Amino acid sequence: VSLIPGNVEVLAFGFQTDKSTAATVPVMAIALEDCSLDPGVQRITTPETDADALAPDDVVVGAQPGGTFKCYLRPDEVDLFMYALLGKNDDTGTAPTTHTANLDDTAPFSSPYLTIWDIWPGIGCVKYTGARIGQLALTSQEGGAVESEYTIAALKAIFLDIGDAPDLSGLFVDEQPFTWAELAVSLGGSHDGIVSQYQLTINRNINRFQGDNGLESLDIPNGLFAVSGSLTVAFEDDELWRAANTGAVDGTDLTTTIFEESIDIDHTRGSDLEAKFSLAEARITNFKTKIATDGKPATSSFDFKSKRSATLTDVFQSIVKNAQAHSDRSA
Amino acid sequence: VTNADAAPAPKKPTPKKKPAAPATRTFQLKQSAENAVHRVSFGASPRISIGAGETFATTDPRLAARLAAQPHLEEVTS
Repeated sequence: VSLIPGNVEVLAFGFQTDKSTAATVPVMAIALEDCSLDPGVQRITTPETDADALAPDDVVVGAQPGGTFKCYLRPDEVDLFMYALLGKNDDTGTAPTTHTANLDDTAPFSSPYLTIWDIWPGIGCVKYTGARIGQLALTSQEGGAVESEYTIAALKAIFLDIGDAPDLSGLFVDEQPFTWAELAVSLGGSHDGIVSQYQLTINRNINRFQGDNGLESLDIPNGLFAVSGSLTVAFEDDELWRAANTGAVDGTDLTTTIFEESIDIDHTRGSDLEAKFSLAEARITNFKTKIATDGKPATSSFDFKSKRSATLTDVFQSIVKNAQAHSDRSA
Repeated sequence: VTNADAAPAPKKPTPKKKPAAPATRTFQLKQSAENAVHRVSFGASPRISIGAGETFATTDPRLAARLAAQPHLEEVTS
């Protein structure tokens, strides 16, 4: 028996030209904090009056390949993921290149299909084809690095001979993750340095239509787009408290108005590396302040949710600056 | 036998019109000086990725309409 170190699993990603054609080679590979990708074979039991003393066996009824993986937010990786999640990307400038990703106005339900190789080097490899990124959840807090958890759904899973696993040379980024020390959150365009924790979820609410295609799904269409999150901030005055309940920072009576202001979550390392996530009109609710009996500063938390807008870039946009020429890693 | 009773002459088959070949429309990144975008990527099946100096041709009218609506693309006219 040869024991395998537990810290070797990696994922590699390639862009497909269409839903049914797997990418031949990956264009990026990443290290992982956690991974639950799985071929997702679905089983049920079929109990019946078979006059047997034994519980029924399982039968396979389908497959739902996918799961989640977690990795640190890195400036030279996240542009690819944002394009894959949101569906549209423009590349401008060089050294650094600015990658602007958002929903495609002309096909807002669209996003590219990926081929994802889940590799335990030298041991095993599962290739997921027709895969989409359905959700990104970003989290960080004082004293931490920035973590990103992606939710994946794929049409099909195939176990490869390990010799057929792709060559990953040159596909890993050699850079440190973004940390809290590189973060600035702006509320209403103002960065006051009051945030101590953030969580942001960008969700395509992906669906699966298996169809009558054996163990390969017909499609995994994107659903309704939603961007939400929460912030923990220093409780410095009653403006947001009032706003979240009355609709205005100087409000007195409760109203049916939901307060909204822009939120920009901006990670910056020097002038060449940045990952900025922007909501032009975030609606703020559920403002709660926590007492601290030990006399520590009081903190408040609130939820936010991006408001619908005909201008899709107002709902959500990511701007990533890095050394990658193109988010789809084309030459 | 009168002419009225005579069997009508068989109609000449009308020649079927061949369906017109779908027009090919070609798109490229806008060449204007103010367009700083050097690659635009979008779409799923097909996924479209057009860089500076590249073109994308399609005979699909719906796809062509989507390409025409992209702010950083323009149609190549010969």
